[in-house]
Amino acid sequence: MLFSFLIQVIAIAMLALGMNKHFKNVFNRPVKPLHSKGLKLTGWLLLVFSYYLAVSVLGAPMATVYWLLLLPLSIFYMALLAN
Amino acid sequence: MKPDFRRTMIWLHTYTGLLLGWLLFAIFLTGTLSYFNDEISQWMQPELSAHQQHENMINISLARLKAQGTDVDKWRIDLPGQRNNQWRLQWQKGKERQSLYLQGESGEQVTPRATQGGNFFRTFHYTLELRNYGGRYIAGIAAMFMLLALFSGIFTHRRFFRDFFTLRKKAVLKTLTDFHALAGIVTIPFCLMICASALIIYIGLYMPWSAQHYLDGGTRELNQKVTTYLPKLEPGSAYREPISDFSVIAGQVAKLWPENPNINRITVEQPFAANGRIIVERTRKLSLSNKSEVLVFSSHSGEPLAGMPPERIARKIRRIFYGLHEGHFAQPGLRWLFFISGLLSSALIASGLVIWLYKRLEKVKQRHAGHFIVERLNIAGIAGLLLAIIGYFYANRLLPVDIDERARLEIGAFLFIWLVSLQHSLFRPANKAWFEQLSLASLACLLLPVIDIIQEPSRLMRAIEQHNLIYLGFELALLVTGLLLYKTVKALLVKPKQVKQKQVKQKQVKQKQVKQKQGKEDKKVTLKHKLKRINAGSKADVV
Repeated sequence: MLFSFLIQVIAIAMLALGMNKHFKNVFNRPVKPLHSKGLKLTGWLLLVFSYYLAVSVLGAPMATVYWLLLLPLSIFYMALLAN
Repeated sequence: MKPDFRRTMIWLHTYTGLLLGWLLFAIFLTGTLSYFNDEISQWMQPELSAHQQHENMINISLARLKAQGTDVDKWRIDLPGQRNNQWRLQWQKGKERQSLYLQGESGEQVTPRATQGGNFFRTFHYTLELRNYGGRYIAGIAAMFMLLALFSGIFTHRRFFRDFFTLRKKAVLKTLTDFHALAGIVTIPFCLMICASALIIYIGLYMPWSAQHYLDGGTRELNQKVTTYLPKLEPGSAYREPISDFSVIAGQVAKLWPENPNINRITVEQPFAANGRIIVERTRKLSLSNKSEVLVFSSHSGEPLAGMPPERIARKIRRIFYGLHEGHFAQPGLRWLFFISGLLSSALIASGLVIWLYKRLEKVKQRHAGHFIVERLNIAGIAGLLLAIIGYFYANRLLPVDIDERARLEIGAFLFIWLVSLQHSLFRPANKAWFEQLSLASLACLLLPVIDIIQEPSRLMRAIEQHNLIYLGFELALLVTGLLLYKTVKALLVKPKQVKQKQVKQKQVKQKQVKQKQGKEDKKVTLKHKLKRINAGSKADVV
């Protein structure tokens, strides 16, 4: 479950980096369209993977509850880091 | 003229939110507290010590209940578990019900102080202490408004999707708006689940018409038809002595429920009849549904009997929503996650209310009555509610233990303090009212554990000895809340001059606050609004 949460955080980070504004914040240069697309795609895939991981451990009902309650944490964490 | 869709949505969002915002804030905050219902009750009844279940517990209980006479119709034994520490016996003769509390290895009787405990928050959040005056209808309407505000909010803060993860830190009103949008988006699943399940739980109250149309008894009859029960016991069965050694049944329970054998409650129906039965209920842990999981045994032989028939799909769905709303299944970690989401939603509502006011105050030169009302209700609704909650805990400790109607008086104290805070907010300048109420709340939070120790030092010692994390955790939570409130108050004290220093400070404070955001989100909001006010002041200075 912890592992799933870590992957969720990484996925959210990828999605944030996929956005020009936040990419510029981190690397001080605008993101290339190709990179942006790649980051976003991996982000979404990792997000799905983290959910899959949670389901495989806890079973779909309980995993959904956990996953959806952890999501605010990772998004907030990222919002604080990204600014 | 065709009104623009988005503008309509913004209007809807603004006014659904404003109209019931304070009510929603109170409902969400008390509802969030009731995730820790049992834990709060535990702190509020310090006479009961923490205990583990031990083997003799059930046999002692059975012996005690047997001594109550053979004409008793029903026994009930509540056993302490992971979250609550009540070992309670109840017995019922006809309609008359009596109960007592036990503790210790040999089961001595104790009398805890009369209190509603954490249950008060639970009932308050859906009845608003107005059960007989339509309180549940009001709460239901509030839930519908919340759903409306949620959906229209998605359109109102549409821009936020384009730059997700953005918290502009320069101007406080902007930070607040960003925070509002971000909190709104991340709590969509939670709020949706909470509001929808709230409506589904009392669907019979809010939409009674179809049931009334098809059934004479309305929703009540419908409920009886769709809920499954154990078969009815026939009266007049021969006298049989009930079992006194529970281990016969305990062995079977452990076999039938290998993955979670913790027994939560044992009910014995017609204990002295030949057809009497023992119903064993376990703690809910593995399923989202709130249907209790039971095993049934004969009361004199311990033979297993037929269990409860499964329910139909529609009923199961309602059960699952019910279970999700209450979170019975949640283990400590998950419970904290629910709690954090609850606080975030409360903060979402509070920040919305504050934004409404300050967006308007910025533009208008002449305030009118509406601004005044909103400003005062913000103070009483946010700071006042915090004070009232803390006041409730104080009443629990300070009221004499053997006074009549004690539980009622505690609730009276809660409502009275809330009312006083409203009056106070009306007669003081807004700044000062915020400041005074928050600093009082902070002081009260910090003093409560001290008072608890002075009153009865042995409680804390015992909690430490027994590693009672619940008791210690409650005191710690009080201290943390108090410190956060103190930080807020300190931030309010920063004078509107020395702009640069202040901005640095603001950043520090905000970062700190944000780190501890799960602790007390609502206070952060008030803090930010203060900072905003300071900011506005400094802008004025510059101009």
